[in-house]
Amino acid sequence: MKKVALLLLYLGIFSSVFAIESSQIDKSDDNKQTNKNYFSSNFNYPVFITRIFRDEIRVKINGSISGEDSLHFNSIIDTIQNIIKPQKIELVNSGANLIFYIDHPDYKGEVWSIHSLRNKQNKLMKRVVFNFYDIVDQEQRNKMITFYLIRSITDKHSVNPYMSISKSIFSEKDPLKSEFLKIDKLMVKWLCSGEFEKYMRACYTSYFKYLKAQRPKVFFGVVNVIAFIVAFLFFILFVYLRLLKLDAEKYLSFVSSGVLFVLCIYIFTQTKMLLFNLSYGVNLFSSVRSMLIQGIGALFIGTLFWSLVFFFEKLLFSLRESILFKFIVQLFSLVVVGAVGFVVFIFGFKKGIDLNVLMKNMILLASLGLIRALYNYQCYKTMQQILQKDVDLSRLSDLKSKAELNALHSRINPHFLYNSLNSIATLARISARKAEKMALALSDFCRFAINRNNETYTTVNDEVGIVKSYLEIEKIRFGDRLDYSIELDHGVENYKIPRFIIQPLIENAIKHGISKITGLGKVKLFICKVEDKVQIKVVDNGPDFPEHLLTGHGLQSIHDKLNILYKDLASMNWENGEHKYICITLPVLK
Amino acid sequence: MKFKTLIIDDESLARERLKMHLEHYSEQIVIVGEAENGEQAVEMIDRLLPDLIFLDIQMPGKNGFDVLKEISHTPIVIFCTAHDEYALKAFETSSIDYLVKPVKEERLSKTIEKLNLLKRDTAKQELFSFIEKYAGLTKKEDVTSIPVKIGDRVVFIKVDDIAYFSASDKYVTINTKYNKEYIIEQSLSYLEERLDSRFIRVQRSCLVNSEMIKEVNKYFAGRYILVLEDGNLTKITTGRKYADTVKNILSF
Repeated sequence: MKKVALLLLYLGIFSSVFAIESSQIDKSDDNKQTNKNYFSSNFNYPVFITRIFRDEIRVKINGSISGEDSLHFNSIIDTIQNIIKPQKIELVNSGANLIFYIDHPDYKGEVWSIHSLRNKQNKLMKRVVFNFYDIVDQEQRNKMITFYLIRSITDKHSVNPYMSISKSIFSEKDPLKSEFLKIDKLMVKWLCSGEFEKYMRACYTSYFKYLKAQRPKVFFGVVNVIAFIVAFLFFILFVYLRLLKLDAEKYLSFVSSGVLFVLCIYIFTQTKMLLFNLSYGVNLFSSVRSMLIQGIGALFIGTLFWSLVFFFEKLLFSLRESILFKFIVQLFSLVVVGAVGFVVFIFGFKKGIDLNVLMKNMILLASLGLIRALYNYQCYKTMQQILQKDVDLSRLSDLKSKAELNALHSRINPHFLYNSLNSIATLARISARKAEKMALALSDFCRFAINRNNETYTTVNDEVGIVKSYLEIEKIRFGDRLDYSIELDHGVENYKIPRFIIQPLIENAIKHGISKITGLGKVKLFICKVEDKVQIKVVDNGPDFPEHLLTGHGLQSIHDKLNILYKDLASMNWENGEHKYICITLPVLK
Repeated sequence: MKFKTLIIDDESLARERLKMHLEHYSEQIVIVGEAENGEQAVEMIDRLLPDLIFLDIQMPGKNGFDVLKEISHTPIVIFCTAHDEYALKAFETSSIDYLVKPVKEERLSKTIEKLNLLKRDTAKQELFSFIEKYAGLTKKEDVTSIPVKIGDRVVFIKVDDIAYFSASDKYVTINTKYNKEYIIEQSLSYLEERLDSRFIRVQRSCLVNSEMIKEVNKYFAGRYILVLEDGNLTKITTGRKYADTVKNILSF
């Protein structure tokens, strides 16, 4: 789903780029750079249509032509003249450099031919031969005249075999089917002004040759070596990953989605191109054929490209594993691999490349890299959050069950029960009254502890009740050695606090405090309101709390309970030394 | 023959109960005193020179064993303990018997019957060897959590949650499996000594919870890279010196 969204996003950006470009293609303005761009990339590469006449074109007609023919000659020459201004074209009787032989007896056998010749002044001249034979229809004759005249003022005549424009004089082979189209007029104009030739040369003159002319040979030696090393490294990398670490499934899904992406963009651009071609009257079949052939090429190059990206990134990711590093790698990997690809293309195949195309592709790759990196980063973040949530959840539930368990355990410490019962047994012989008192206190304690719904909260009053009965029991056991007091602030009695949160503190104070000292043990419980919080403070005069390490679960489980119920709002603290105390601060719940 | 007897227990009820039962054996037992803590006991034993003592193990201040170590006079010792875990097989020395609290009449009568068979003049050596045995049998309680003071509150870090400890210049940092960090002041060696065997030193400045190790990858020169099962999948490179420890504990 996300991948689709990403693709749509990218296609959006991509199409808007092309929409801007398309809007610049304006058929009404013949001089626009984009139009030339379009023709240059669609018209005959690498065969140029070059102009042959650099100055005046002087046309002479030999042979037998009718008056209508010559009229048409005149009108077509006028048309051309209009197009190729300021270059001149005219009909002459002598000094011609473009001579037509039409139905001439000397050339009876020839259908048509063009010969370039040199005259005595070593000036270029052209001889054009064609025959009407039996064609009498004037319209057809006119077409032939136009066809041969237009073709003769240019040098090469074939255009891109994949890109035949039906009826265009430059691509149609049969003169009778041709028409003098607007596109032909454009071609003629650019050809004669030399503009097209210049432009095509700029684009396709081998960039490599250009560089070669500018740089010493050593440079190319070095570049070749580097290119070889890079290629070799990639090969090693490929083998290494392939043999040792390639995660085939990952690789396939990565490359297939990458190729799918390339194809999407390809189909998008080609559809646009197709529509454009059709609007210029390009043959549908040939357009589709060229689309398919280029599509296969795109598939191949796309696979290669994404495979290289995959290996490249995998190698880099194995070096370091930080999110930022990953982000940066994904940001630049496409550009780097693309650049390597272009370098290999230019130097490996010694082919020229249009700098504009190069720049466009690089910008494309860079933007794709950016979007991909951002998207992946986002995904990673989301993933991280989900994982964190999972961890939090599991921790919470874990803690909760543990705390519940602990709470159950701490309700009645079996040792406490056991000790108490033993005490009662002893007291039974010594003092029936004391035994009764203790049994009743224990019963109270049990009622608080056991006969309860599993409520989480209780009131301060209830909790103090538990503590009192607990302390009563302990007092009988410890006798004079234990002294306790409970002090409550006015109004705190009905505050809600978690169940069984004070008693463990008191039990702790007795177990680890009072029972460890020989003198009189004092336990004091204070519950007071501090600002909007309740503070529960247990003071005893036993030994210090362990400063470093804790064994046992008493305090831990109270801490966990507070954490579950109040998060950061509740806190626990203790102080050692003369005024040793442990203190819990809770937010008020009413 | 009458035994001069001293009862040592911090709980008055327990003393009462014992006294009550011992009244039945007044031909043999003469109670010469009661002590309610270890210090009193030491003083009274050396002053009253009893033939027999009933000694509680768990007492505030000095415990029963401490008392035995400190007295110069050596009476017959009968331990009274509330907890079964102290009812040890180690009580085999002829000078010693034990009773589990609350003391029952039948069990006490057996002890009294046995009393004449017990050696009068207990060798101190025997007592010591017993204490040593006993001390070996009591297991050190495992540390369950580490309290950390953060501002005005104490936070408890469960040992189970700790992924590793790492030491920097002055402090040791606790890293939990939830990727939280806490700074404590104790040294790594102190922690290593006190914590259970789950925690192993894999590097000079790192103590790792071996239960948290997810992966072990070989590295150069006898070193390993440990991947921990915390949220960050922390990687720790072990020290060369600790290669054997790592190998042993991970058993490969």
